[in-house]
Amino acid sequence: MSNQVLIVDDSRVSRMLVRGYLEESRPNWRYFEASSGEDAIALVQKEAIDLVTMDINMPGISGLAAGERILQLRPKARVVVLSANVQANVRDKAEALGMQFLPKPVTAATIVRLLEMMEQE
Amino acid sequence: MNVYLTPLQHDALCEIFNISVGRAAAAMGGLVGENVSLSVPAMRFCSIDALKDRMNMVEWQQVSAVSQSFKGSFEGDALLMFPNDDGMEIVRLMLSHVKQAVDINELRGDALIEIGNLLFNACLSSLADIFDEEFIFDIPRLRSCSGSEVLAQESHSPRNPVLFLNIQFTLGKRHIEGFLAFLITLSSLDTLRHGADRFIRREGTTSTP
Repeated sequence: MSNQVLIVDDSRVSRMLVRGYLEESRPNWRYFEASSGEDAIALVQKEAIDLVTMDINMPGISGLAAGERILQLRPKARVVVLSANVQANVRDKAEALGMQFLPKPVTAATIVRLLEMMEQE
Repeated sequence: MNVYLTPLQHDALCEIFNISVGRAAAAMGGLVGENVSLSVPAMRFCSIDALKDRMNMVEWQQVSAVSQSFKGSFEGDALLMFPNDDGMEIVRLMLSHVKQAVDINELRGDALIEIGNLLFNACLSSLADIFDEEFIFDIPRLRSCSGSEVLAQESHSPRNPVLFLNIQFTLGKRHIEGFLAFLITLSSLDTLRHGADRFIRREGTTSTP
């Protein structure tokens, strides 16, 4: 079961929402935050991250490129794209790269769905 | 008179944006934790100069505007505008779901950008799916300025077309007015027309020449 979580989003409010809802359900997990793909990759190199929630549209490299690199570094990690960009081809790209996709906004129901995904193999 | 679109193309784009705004309403409802009703009473498609006059935008003393550039077969800048701090109520509702203690004024800009991001993505993702296109988005930015300045973007001439939607947000009993504008390049206009025509054909209607 995942216990080290990295929340990647350039929006501070979005990071706070994801973390707040997750902490409510999983208070014993350890949480990390990054505001860019580059920072996320650097953090994954240092910490054994199990779950990454990843925005797509951020300054610097895109969330899809960052997620792809993270999966190379930590093949057992789960990367879930959390994005408002719900274009069909964006979802397809994320899934082709081995990530899962959940549409924003971040709500309690989104986080319930995220946790369900974590429990499925 | 609308010089850019035939009446049927205009109707088709209205319908496409009604679909998009429905998607945006669902997204916003989730964000603020209340039922959000978004209505699009009118769509205007005219030049930036004509729009400023018609909307009497010089009267808007202070506008909070989120803008985001998009690229694809048609490209331009999307703007979400809240005159006279109307967006603050949405920000308050959005931040009421943040579990930590927050300073609303400190997070106001970040929250407005996220609201703009949701709306632009809902609209442009619907357009992308309907037009079978892909859009690439730039990073959204927030500006506070006067109504006369808000549509001034370096990349657009005042004669460039703007697709303008007056959106009314209804949250519970509160009515909040915001404005959504897509400033597009002249070269993108044909793509938009062709996309509207494809939508008309797909819906089984016959386009008039």
